[in-house]
Amino acid sequence: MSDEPAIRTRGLRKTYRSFTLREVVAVEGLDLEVPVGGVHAFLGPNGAGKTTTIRMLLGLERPDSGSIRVLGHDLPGGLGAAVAKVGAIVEQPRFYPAFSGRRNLSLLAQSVGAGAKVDGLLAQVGLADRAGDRYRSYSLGMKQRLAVASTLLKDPELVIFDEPTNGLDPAGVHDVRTIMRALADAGRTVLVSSHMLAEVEQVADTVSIVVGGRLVADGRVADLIGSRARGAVRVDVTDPVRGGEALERRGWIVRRDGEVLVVEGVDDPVEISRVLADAGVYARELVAERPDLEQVFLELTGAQGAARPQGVGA
Amino acid sequence: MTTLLRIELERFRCRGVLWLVAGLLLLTGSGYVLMTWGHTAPASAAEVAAATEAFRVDAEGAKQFVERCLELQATDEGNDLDCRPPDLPTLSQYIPEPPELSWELGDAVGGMKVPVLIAALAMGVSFVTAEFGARTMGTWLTFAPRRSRVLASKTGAAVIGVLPAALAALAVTIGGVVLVYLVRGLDLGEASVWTDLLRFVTHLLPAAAVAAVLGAGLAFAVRNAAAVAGIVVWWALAVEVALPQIIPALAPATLGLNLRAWLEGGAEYTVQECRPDPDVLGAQVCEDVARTVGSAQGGLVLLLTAAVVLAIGALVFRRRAVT
Ligand SMILES: Nc1ncnc2c1ncn2[C@@H]1O[C@H](COP(=O)(O)OP(=O)(O)OP(=O)(O)O)[C@@H](O)[C@H]1O
Ligand SMILES: [Mg+2]
Repeated sequence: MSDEPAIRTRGLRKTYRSFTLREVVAVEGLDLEVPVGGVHAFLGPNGAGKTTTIRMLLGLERPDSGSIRVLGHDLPGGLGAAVAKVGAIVEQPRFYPAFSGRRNLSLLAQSVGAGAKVDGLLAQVGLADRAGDRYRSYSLGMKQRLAVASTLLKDPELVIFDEPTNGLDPAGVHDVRTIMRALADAGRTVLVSSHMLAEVEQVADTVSIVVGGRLVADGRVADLIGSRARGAVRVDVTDPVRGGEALERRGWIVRRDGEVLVVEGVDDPVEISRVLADAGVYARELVAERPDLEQVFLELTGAQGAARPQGVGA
Repeated sequence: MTTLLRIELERFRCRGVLWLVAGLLLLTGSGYVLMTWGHTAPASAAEVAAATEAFRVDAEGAKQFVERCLELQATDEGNDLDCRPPDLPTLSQYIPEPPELSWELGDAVGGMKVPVLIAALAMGVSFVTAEFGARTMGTWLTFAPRRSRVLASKTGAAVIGVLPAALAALAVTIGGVVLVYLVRGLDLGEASVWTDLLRFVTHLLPAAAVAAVLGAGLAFAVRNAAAVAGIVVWWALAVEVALPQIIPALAPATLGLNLRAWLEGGAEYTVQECRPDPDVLGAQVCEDVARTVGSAQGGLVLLLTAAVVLAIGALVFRRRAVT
């Protein structure tokens, strides 16, 4: 296999016009690169343009400008050849409500000559018992499971999951994670967009983060966490108010979690003990928090203020 | 392509709403059969009694006329009178007869024309809008990304699916009416009944196919059944009804006239033709002139209309994003 990425977009742009002709930029000059093999997380806050990008990758939406190359085929000319090797769930599972899960899957399967796989896949996603029931009667998680099954019909080289675990129970989340990992281990490429960052962190090898339709970071998940986030430190002190003030004066970001102070932006935790001691406050316990994807995400997307409680003594 | 067509046909077969429409069509056909059953019922006792009474009154009148005439003839003034009794109808002519088969068939099959075409249109629309309504078109396009093929196979399946429904409804109607005549032991009439009927049916079925294409095309263009219904109603009122009243010369632009021409071997419409009055300066003389639209022209206009609408549907479907 060449080292050409599974997905490459250059300067991808998509705008929508509202009724009042106001322009909404959904994707703005996006350069997305998804390497072949492995799980690639596609992250961003609500409205960042993830679904729009995925829809353009699948030919459901035309970009205003920019280029797209999927599995070695340039779009839109190579759409047929590319899509033949892609399995995808976009945003929500969508099937005929009045048809059974099995019939829905079988209709799709026939188009790619995969009729024989239907029952096996239904069993794999745990729908064997309910396969004869109308899709309308399925729970959200069952619908999601059927959608996952549908992405596997083509024996895809690239699987695109837009929020695949939305509505799944813990077992379902685990199953989807296992499926993604198995696909990746078999040399397939998985592009997954999700807001469940802990989940993503467990399974993703690489990541792209978009904000406002632009790429703000990408690379290996481990590298990104290592480079960006300095871990927070949790300190249990004798006098949280005075301790917090002292630490803030030192220029760190401090917030209170009950009686415990959480200090961010610290390079070496030893510094904290010194500052506290100088202020006459003593630490009972001092734990360095492991930085995680969520922290990196919040840092990069500038969502700290909105998403987290802040301020000492709050 | 044949794979896509096969899948679309399976979708068509499995859609309950389409079976409902087909069922309503059959019910309409059965209604006409039931009406024929009523029309061909043998005269009831009351009808026979009334006929006998009418016959008796007329016969009595004739007898009195002859008697009176003979009395007059005996006198001087009336000796040149002709007192032969008038031709009296027989009693059987007073009893109502069942209509001829050709008449009943013409009524029944002619009456099925509009229901068949509306059903075909509705099935074409519903088959396509269901896909957009359930938002399954996006899913389908990730399996069949070539939109022109998706459109062609869906439209093809709509046509193929509509034809058996129309054919079944017509078969039930015709078969039912004929069966009524056989059961009643009535005369089936001349062979020309069948050639006329065959002509009508072989023109109605292609028209139903065209209606299905028209429906599919509209549905691909606006994607929403209610919106299609709105367009159809607007067209019916603004173009089919109002336009020929305002500008009679534009009547050939209406689908109704062309449809009539296609089904009935030609249709007439009238226009006013005016020219300067040779006697009065500045005045005009006008007269109504009948013009005809031929069967072939009618068929062609229907076909072209469906083709244009489908082309618009294809354009919209290819260009507009699918959610
Ligand atoms: N069909 C549309 N018409 C108008 N605006 C749209 C349309 N689809 C998306 N947008 C806008 O484009 C932007 C990006 O939307 P998109 O659905 O791609 O975001 P997302 O990253 O998938 O968000 P989420 O995490 O909530 O799923 C949003 O501002 C959205 O309002
Ligand atoms: Mg989304």
